[in-house]
Amino acid sequence: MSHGEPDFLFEAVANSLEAGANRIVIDYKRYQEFVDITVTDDGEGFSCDVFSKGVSTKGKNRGNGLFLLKEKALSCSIKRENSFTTLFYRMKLAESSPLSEVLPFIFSYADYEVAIEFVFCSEVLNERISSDALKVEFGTLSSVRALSALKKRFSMFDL
Amino acid sequence: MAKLSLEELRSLRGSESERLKKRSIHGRDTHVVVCMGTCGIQAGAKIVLNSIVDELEAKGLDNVIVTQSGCAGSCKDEPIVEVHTPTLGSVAYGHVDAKVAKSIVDEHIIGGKILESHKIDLEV
Repeated sequence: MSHGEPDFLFEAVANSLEAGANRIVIDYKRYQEFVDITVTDDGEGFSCDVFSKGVSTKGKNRGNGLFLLKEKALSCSIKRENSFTTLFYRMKLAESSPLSEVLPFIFSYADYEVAIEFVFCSEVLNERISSDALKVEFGTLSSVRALSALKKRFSMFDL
Repeated sequence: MAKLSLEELRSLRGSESERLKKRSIHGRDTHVVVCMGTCGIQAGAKIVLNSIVDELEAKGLDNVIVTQSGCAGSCKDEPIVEVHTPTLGSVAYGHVDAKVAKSIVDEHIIGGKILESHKIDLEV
């Protein structure tokens, strides 16, 4: 098994949540041969070299997620500006796995008092989805009903 | 802050387990947690996560919440799934794949029987 590019969204969003983010925006741009993903949050930020192996604010034997990201990505960066943290990474499109297998679970984090927004852009499709709207529609986003429905809905993003 | 002994920790976990039996998560009484730390994802936890939802939907089970957690601290047992139900309390399973995920739904959640073959104890 290895991380496809949407899998790193689990890593990125988990980091944002652990930094105390109340709002997370995921910008996903799909090009012919690569994908640019930007995750911005309003959490506390970071204070260490997050891309180094074993470096983590979470304790011992942690800190491999972003190291792995750096190994797999064509490029990546992280910055802190105006109280926002922005993680960027670019990966080959050939290493994609379906967004429909990842996005519903990313949005389900919104059950825990964080707002999540997903902005998708490609040659053929532009969509903006907010957890606020999904919660109005489904209520609890980690319910089986919501997760199943969103898996089907988000298949529009799959290659 | 005084450290708890292992015995005290186990006792705490036991009482927590009792409390969790009565827990209602967003109005539902069954909660499945899939560990989605780096090691979990590398071991195939995303497939497990999707398989569990697919099987729960196929079986028409509405009263269940499925969430993700970070690393459980037991990377050798990944993918790890924890199931919290009123009758069986908290049970952790290791080395879960799509087939085992289906069994967890059918035998544990629906059948009320622990899958002893994959049951693990998570370190407190």
